[in-house]
Amino acid sequence: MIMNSDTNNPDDQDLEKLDQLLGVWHEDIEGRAKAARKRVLEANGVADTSERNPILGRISMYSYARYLPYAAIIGIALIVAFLATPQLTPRSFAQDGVVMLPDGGNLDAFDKDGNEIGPCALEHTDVHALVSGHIVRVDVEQTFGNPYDTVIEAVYTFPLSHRGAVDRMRMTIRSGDEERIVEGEIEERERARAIYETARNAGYVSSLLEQERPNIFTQSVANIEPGAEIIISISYVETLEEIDGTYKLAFPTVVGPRYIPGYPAGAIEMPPGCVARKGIVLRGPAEIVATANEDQTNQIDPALLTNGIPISPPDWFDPNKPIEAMKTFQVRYADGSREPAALFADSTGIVGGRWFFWQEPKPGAPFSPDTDQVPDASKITPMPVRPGTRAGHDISIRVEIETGGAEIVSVDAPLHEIVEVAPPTGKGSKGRKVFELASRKTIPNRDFILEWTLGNDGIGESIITHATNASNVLLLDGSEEGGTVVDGYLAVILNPPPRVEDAEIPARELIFVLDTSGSMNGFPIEKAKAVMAQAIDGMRPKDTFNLITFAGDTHILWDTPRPATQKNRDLANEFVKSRQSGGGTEMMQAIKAALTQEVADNQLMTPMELANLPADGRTVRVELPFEDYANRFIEVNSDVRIEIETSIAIPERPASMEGKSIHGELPIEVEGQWTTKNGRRVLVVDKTKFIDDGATDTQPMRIVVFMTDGYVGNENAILSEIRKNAETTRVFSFGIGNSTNRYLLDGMAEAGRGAAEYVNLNADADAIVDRFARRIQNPVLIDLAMETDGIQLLDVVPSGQYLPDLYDEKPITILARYQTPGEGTITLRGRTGSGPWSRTIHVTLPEDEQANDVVATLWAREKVDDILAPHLDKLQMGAVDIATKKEVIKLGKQYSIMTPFTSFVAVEKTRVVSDGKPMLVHIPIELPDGTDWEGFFGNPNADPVDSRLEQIALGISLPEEPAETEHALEADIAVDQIVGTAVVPPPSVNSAVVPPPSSAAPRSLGSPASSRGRAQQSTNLAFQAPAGNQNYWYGQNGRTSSSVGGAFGSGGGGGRGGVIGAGGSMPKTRGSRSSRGRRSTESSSNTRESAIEQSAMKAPQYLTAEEFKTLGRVLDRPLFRLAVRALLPEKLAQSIQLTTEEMFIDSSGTVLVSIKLDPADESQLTELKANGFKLVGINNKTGIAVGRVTPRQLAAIGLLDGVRRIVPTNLEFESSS
Amino acid sequence: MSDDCLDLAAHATGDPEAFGRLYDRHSSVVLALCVRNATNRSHAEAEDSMQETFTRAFKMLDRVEDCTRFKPWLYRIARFVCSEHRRSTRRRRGHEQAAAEHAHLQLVGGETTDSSDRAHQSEQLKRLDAALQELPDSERLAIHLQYLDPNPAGAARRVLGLSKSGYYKTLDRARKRLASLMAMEISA
Repeated sequence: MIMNSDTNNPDDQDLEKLDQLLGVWHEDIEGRAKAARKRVLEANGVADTSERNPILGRISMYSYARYLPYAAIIGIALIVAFLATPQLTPRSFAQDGVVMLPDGGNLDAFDKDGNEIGPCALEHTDVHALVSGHIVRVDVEQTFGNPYDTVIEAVYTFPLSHRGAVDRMRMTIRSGDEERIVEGEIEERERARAIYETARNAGYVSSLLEQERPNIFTQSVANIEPGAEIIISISYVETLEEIDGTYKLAFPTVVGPRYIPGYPAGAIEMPPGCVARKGIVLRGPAEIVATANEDQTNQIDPALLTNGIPISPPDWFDPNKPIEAMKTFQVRYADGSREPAALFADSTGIVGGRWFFWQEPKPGAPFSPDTDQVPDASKITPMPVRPGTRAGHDISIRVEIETGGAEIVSVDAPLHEIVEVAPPTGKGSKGRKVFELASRKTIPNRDFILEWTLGNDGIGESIITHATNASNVLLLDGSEEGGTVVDGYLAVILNPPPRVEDAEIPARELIFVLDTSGSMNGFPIEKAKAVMAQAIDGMRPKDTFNLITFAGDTHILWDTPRPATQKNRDLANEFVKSRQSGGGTEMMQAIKAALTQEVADNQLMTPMELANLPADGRTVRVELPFEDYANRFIEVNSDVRIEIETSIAIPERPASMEGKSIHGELPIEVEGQWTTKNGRRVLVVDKTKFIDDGATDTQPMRIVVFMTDGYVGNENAILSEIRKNAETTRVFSFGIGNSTNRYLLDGMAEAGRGAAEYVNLNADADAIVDRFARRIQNPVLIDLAMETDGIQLLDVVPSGQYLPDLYDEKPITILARYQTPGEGTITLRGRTGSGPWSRTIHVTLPEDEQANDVVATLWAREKVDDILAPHLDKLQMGAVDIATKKEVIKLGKQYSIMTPFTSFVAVEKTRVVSDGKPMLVHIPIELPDGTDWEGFFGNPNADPVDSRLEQIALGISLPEEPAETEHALEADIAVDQIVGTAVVPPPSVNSAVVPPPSSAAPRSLGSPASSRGRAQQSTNLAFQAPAGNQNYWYGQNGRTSSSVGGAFGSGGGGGRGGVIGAGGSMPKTRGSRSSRGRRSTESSSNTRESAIEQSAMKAPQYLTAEEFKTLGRVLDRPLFRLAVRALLPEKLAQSIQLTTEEMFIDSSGTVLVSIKLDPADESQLTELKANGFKLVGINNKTGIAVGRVTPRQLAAIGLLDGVRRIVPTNLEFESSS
Repeated sequence: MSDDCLDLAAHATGDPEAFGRLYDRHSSVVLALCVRNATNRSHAEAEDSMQETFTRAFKMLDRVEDCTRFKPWLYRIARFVCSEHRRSTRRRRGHEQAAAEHAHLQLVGGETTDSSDRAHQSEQLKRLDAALQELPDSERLAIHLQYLDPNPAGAARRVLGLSKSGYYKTLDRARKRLASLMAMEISA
């Protein structure tokens, strides 16, 4: 839909109608706010003295007031506990838990029990970078071997530069003297995977390279024979980074452990009676071996086991009774040992006495399951090796620099030791040098960074073109040009103007955001604190600032930014020092908090506002009428008068006021000190001017400074959020650490129109802060735009009206296509500190230029980013629309580059080497240098556990259904009480079958009904009421409107921390929710409750007080109002005014609702139907039924036994066509 | 002293009605803000968010450092609460969607028609809801203040940092944008 010019100027009639409508809308809002008054006040324990709506008042009272005394006490206690307790990281481990140890030069792998498995399947990575002018081509060679005695499939998750255009993959198979080379082909991702899997299952040597993030890739190599060697060569190009004359090449070598926000997508689907336990499923990489029913075992994917979630024995399990297994088989470990295993129909299984829950097979051996916020989490979370062990593969790097003449003056590799070697061919010269890592066996656990500077004027500017005559030129509107046309590409790399120091530095507002998550543990957090302290000290008093820290939760120092006075700086430094690292990386909240921070208080204030401020010498800006200024006092009101002291007679006049007369009512702005002299408050003015009514308000420049390692899995969602909110804010990111997530950090700066800075752990904080100060004080070039004359450029990237601002003296790079050869000019315009700047260059677009084909690749790579930029949030969820996806796929295939939707696949079809069932081996990776295992995964000696599964098992991290507050409260108390008490030791990993838990057996909370249909469901895959899901549903559905609900939400954190600290286990905690405890809580609040019941009884209604309560719990509030209204005599019913939204009753007099059933079985449905429920659909898996019901019947249905919750539904059903 | 300051002080000294006055003064704008953030602009969800906002505010009233900025402080709480609520509703929606997919085959042709004036207005209001959501935050707030705040310009200065003229400019822009958004929907 395109807005045409007419609709831009709506006529007066439209506006009038709009105003009328707005009036109605806001009246409705006002009415609702008034109607809710009593409820809100009572929820907070405040008496409402104005009797407005007795019925509603009483209805709402029961649900909140009853728990107030508890809520207040527990709420405060838990909030404190919550703030004090570090949030848990997703502390899960790869289930195959392979550990590699260096052993006298032989890198051997051991499984968890210490059995030797053999050397690592990835032997070596060799990197060769060739720098040529502004462009660098990097070749990466991964050598895979097979030290096992069986055919294997190796999966390796590794990083590449996020700006690189990966345009080549080649597979070389060496077996004895033979060597075969297969070129990889680019294919649509799904198709590539299908090709790979088919080839793998057919026994061919095959490989697949997939892009998970622009900087995270997965290499899969299938059917590596014992003793064979397979070399995967990957190649990419990128433009070199140059900042203030320093060239920089960065090559990442390890994927740091990412924090994955969200809830595990799979865990919530666990069947009833399943509770996650600590422990593992498989002891190491294993192969599935057939036993009795061999024909079926073919279908078992080993990933079922590697991705299995460890659970306690399901409660249908009785060791004394035979169980019918769906499939039985054995697993064979690499050391030859075997364990019996079985799968059951309810998605549980058992291996060597260890129960697990299996899900749809997924590739990879991730430490995190996929979650609702990061649906591909398992693909980006390779498990690092434990402290004191090595992954068993190493890396060598060689960089050839060819400057094209300019002398290389200095070279530095801050994180590695390098040596200069002779060039392979020809002679070295001043402009041609080769460097290598000093050791060919360097551990890949940090970025390789090479920085160099050139003499004279550096490389100079480049205009690079490439053109061919092509017959099938890709046009991005989806069509292809018929006939032969010129397919040309242009890269313009221009030098920026020198930085101009601007004397007038505008006021700034700095929001510092510090990542204090567990991944920052140790050196990184200390480095970040040091940098931040420096930056805070470097601010001027005119600036305002604020501090935000985030880990699992977000802490903001002040409500609004404050001036950078000494006192405030001290406060901030204290705050920074006090922050401990630990917990998750919930970055999204912090981003939102930082971008939506209130504007600082140094805005123009009114005299009234001034009068309310303490006169403590602070600098203030006040708007007042000129008359007051002339009189030298401000008349705030009849009682308050503020004196003005100044030596300025006439305020400054802005240019726009030239020639206008001055009168007493003109507003002026005064700036000065608000201070106390001789006991009187005085405004000492040192600056004043007339307010230019025409000019826009001058807001301080808002700068958000983010300090983080960027180890999160929801990068795209974060970048999308910044893009949405960064209108008035600049984001500067500081990557802290030796192998940061550069994709995120660069992306944040780009989306936030700022700049990124990388602070390795050896870096000098002073120099970094100096550079930052220079950047924000004097950007080199802003408002940069491009025009062309005489030539026509297509698909220019970066696109958009303005090019990114330049904060450093770095080259401006523009990439474009063309189809019309010719000559013309390109003009760049912008602003520097000294005023407008422009630059015109002459360009010749040739018709044919075979060289420089790399320009086309670089353009295509940039274009992919450009296309995906507005869709990052959808990309994160794996839900990019088809049109966008197709566009990207087209680019990927046409230019043969990797994208999120195109992969390289190579198959060697001359020989079948296996029976198609290779053993899956995940290549272990190193823990990033400088980080701390404990920060990510907790105590290295602890048993592996996924803490989020544990949380779900404990049932305390998810918000509870408020209606079940008594359980919730009780659980909190219980959890609180067991803090510091050792409970039950964690289940032993290798123990034999554990008997099912006794009477304290975990069961779905507050749903006695679910126990009904439990045991017999073991053969039914469609679960009637998944236990985890049930929590989920209620948790998310529940309104957190009561203070109790709010308190509980935070309570989970405190309680959880306590349990973990105590090494507690699930059964006990869950047992504490037993009905016994619940009753006692209820009775303790009996007195108050009965009083409320009494008052509820007085209301004219046809329900008992008990039923009334039940209804209030089951029905969503609008529905509750509807239902109650339908039951009342007409006169009284009218006193309940329905709002526009509540009138969702359709012409048939019914409302569309969705009902959560437990259980959702036939008898339940029959009962519903008997009560007038017109079913339109049911999802047996979630137990949610959608249908229509009259308001009158709502009450009857709401009181049915298995009905847990009813909410209105306004889902729009698309027609099935 | 501003009214908020008086009431905050009164609350601190134990005046049981002070919170009610604060509520009366600010609840409608908070509710309006919450509507924008509610899933599908559900007014019921917005009401819940509004209530939660005041509940949280109530707990922290003694921590208001600058009473003249009570309004922005409260609005910020509202924003936090609303986005929390929206997240949780979105999860629930996922489940409803699943049920709906089972349902939707059976619903084909089951559209109901509603011809009454009230339905027309409710339709219009729904559209307005949607259009309001399209506005940039500052413009939407400007409109809410115009209708719900007794002193819109003063409130705009505190909350949006706008001068009087700046506020009216923003308001005008917002109205025009809203009108064209509504017109667009009609033509669509």
